[in-house]
Amino acid sequence: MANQNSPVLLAETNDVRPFARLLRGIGLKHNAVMEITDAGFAVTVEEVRTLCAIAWVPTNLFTSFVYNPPSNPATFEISLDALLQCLNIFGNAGAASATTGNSAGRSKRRWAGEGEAGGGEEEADEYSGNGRKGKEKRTGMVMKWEGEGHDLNVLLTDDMRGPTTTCELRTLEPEELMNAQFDQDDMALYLIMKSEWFRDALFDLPPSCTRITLLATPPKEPVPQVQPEATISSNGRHRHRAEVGQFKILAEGDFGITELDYPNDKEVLDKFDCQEKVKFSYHSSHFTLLHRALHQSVKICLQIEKSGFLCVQIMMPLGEGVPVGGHSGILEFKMHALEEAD
Amino acid sequence: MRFRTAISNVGLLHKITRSLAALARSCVIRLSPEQVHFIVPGNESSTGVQVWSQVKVSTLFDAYKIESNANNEIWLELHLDSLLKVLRSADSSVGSVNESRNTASLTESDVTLKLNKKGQQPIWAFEIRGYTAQRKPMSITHEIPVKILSPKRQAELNEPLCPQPDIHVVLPNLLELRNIVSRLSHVADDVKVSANHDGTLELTAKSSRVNLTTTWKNLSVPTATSNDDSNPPPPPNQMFTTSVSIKGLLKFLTSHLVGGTAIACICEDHCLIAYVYIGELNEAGGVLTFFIPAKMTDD
Repeated sequence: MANQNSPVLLAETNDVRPFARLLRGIGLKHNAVMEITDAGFAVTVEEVRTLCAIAWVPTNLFTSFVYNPPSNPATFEISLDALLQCLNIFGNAGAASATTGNSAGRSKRRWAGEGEAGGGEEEADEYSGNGRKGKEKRTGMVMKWEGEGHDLNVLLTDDMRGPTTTCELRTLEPEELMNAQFDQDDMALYLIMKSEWFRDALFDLPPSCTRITLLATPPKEPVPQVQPEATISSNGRHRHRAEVGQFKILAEGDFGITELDYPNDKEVLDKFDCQEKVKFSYHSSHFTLLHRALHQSVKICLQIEKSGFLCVQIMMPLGEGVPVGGHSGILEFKMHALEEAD
Repeated sequence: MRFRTAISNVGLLHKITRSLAALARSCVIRLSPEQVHFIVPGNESSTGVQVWSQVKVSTLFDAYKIESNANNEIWLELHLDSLLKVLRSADSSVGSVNESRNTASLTESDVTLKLNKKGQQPIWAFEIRGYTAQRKPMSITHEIPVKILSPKRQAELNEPLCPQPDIHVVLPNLLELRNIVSRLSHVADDVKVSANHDGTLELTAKSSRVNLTTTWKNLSVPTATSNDDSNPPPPPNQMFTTSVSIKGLLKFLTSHLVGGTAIACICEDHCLIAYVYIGELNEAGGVLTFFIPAKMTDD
């Protein structure tokens, strides 16, 4: 039984950026359900029955993390927007400040909690004088939750000198979550690749497409018929891919079809497990939501159940001193396949 | 009615104009032999923010000549947009703005300003004399229409009356403050500004989802200059509060461009007055005074 006086949660960090980055990745709705466990936070956002996004925030992102389990599970709903705005109150946890010079590929679409950060940034740049001087400035955080019925208190300090900000975030009864579980035993496809490549692929898809098809063929497939009009090298490529197996992303837009092939080579796919041909289509708007999550991540793991249920796990770069097998944050997106259209 | 001057500090005039342009479309300029007053009356801006500022003639101008049969004062009204356009051109020609992309501008220029008449229309004529990139002398003249204010209209313009402020506090860096306030604007429409004699300043934004309070400590609190000792000083930790619209506060904070020290005065539940000093406090080259009306809230 927890001590009555000690708060359920007391977490501290001297840099909120990794935490904010994870939350921003799932910032597709205003509200999120936050669950506190010994392992850290699990923040879940669900788009009614179609998409579920979870940010796993490990305790190693915090300098201290004290959790006193209450009698009921420590779960509540908060405004994700507001939390992100709070974390970025000093401008050190915005979308732009986390960017590593890859602004060319910034998506036009705005997400919960991003628009204002972007807008503010642009304005600040307009009068770029002393605005960006604090490149190395960090925002520290102390997060405290007294338990059910209490607000989530977040104290932010812009280290060195300067102001402090306290935020009292309302906590609500959590909404019922679907959170369909992914069945590892019923897996049809399992692959791991660099998230950069996956992100580039998503950028290349035609904006007008409505469905995105994922296709995987196992190794040792019959070689496709030689296309008479194709060049020798392209026929050779097809042969090679049929031999080793490949993963393919396909999207049809108003002006044609885009097809991206990933042959099962060591330097392309870190891991590729596929027993028989897999082909499922997904809603493209759900894939666009992945974009932001992929930002600054290192690897993705893509799994498809035999039913077509898709689970994409996005791994963030490891922080210092993370033990083997640990992680510095994982974002998980789960969605069901669309009905096959003929 | 005659008015003619050289503009010695184009950069500063440009910055002041930019700050004012964030508030309103037009502004009243009262020229007197010693001072230049920039006035944005309350009905000009949507947020009710008013500006009543005075700048010493010597801070901005040189070889300043003014004559009129009303105490040698001239009141005029002009569109800030057109003034801004002229000053942008003048500023880049003088070289105080380092905009290398604008190769068409002149260099080493002098800027003079004259009150002229074109037919029936009074105009302000700016003459920029300088050198082209090929070292040829050249002059550019901009003319913007102005409206001379009648004595009747002058009398209608009155500085707002405020009670004795409850507290003065030196504000933190205005740019930093602006960045924080602009983020608060996504949380709520109004912000509660509180300060006490300990030098604590608090900005509180409340919404149904979150309460955000940003606190500064150890700001300097200038002691009141008033001599009435009849009231005992308030306890140092007593907070004085007024709620203002974030939009209005942000408009004032655009004056971070002017870059001086700023002091805020809180008249509880009446208004927030902000003084932005031009140049160092003790030089007192001028001061921009912003009146931000309080918004009444339920709590």
